[in-house]
Amino acid sequence: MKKRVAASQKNNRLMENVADTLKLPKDLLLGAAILTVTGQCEAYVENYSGIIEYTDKKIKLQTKTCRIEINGDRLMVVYYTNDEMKIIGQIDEIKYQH
Amino acid sequence: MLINLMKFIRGYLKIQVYGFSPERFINLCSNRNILIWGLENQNHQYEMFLSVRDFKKLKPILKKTNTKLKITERHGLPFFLYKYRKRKMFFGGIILFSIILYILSLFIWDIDVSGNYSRTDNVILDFLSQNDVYHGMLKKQISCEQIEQMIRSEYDDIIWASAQIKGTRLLIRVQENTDVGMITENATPSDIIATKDCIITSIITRKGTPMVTQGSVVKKGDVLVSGRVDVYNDNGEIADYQYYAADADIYAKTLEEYNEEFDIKYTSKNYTENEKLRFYLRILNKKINIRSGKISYNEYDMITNESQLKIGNNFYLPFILGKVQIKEYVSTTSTYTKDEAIARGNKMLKEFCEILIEKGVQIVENNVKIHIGKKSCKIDGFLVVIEKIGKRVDTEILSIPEERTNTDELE
Repeated sequence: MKKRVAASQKNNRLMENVADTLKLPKDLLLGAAILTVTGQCEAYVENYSGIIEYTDKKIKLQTKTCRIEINGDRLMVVYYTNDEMKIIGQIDEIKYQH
Repeated sequence: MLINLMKFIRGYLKIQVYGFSPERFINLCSNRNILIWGLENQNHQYEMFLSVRDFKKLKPILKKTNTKLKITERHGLPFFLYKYRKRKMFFGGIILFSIILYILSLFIWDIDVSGNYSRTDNVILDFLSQNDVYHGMLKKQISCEQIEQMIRSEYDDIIWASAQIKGTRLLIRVQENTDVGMITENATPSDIIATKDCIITSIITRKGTPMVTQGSVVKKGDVLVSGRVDVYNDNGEIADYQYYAADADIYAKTLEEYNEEFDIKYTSKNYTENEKLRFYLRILNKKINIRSGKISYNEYDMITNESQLKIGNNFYLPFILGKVQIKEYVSTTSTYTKDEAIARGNKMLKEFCEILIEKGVQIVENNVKIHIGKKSCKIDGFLVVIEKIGKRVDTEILSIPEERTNTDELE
């Protein structure tokens, strides 16, 4: 298990280097999620694969590499498509889980 | 905005999802390219919006995820039409509206003329209406090229014209020749004669033979400059005549009489604050009073304002809206005092002098007196003025003196 994590981390670093030298966007190569947060009340999320949990206090999203947990109050999804979503409400914390 | 309009036209629903795993339902929706917006979680129930078309694709997802669904709200045009399907007049109105709009768009409602400086819009519009181009005509009947040609052939100084139909407007643009046309010189031989008795103060002759000099006393009708120029031969005899159109600047001292009289008594209007308004509508010379009633004033002025209703700038409708203002006044008779009469007389004289000066007349002497009588006030006298005089008349053509031909024969 440890080996696998180390290997994937190594692989990740390699891809990162490739992306840097070729000047390619990292979200395509690494499959990283893009989070754009405006103030405390608005967040755009791109490059995710699905919702795990959704209540008005907590939104948990699954991305390719990790899980993103957004905690707050009166959270609401304005729109939700295959590759982009917009969340409004009072955002208190954003957590990454591996 | 546009997206909202599209959503409205297609129709959309608000649904409530509950059951085992609503999150899975949402993920599957996004996976199958079903757009969801306004997602909300309240009391463990998910509410969201989606379009009608996508709603039809939901059945397999519902089965798969074992969730239940409830429609809570319906929005959009399809539902609106369904709800009001029995209101036939409403739909009839929409159709009638479109038809009327279409029919109205078949006509020319405004003719706009631009680029004209020396001719007013009305002149060109009148010309066009004489040639069957008028407000309210069918667009089909207009041939822009023909209008352009018509304008160019009618007016010599319009060197370029363009006609264009834009919506229900006919735009006419013209370009006028701004070069001043040739001044046609008067070629027929003519004399300059005096128009009244005067004393010449200055004379500058450009063409012709001057018959007077500075200081000459001239009577009305005398020739000042003759168009005939004598040509002498070596013997000092007249050999030939040359004829020109006489041209000269002649200034002369003349008398300008001035007589004026006004009554020493006058009535003045003292307007009271009382005022009444009347309105009327005139349709094709038929007057319809909108507000009428007796006028109880003894003496009053009536001021009528008429305005014709129009569409755009130039399309006049046959409706005229009139407004009548009735103002009451009380007339009082009073007499001018001596000072007032003199002031009034002076004012009248001054106005007269100003008119003269505007014409280019120089006033040298002023011999006008004001006499105040019992009933009226007389202003009379004369002004000595220097003005440009002279009137053009045709020259009498004389036959060439006989002697010359005679002597030629003798030799």
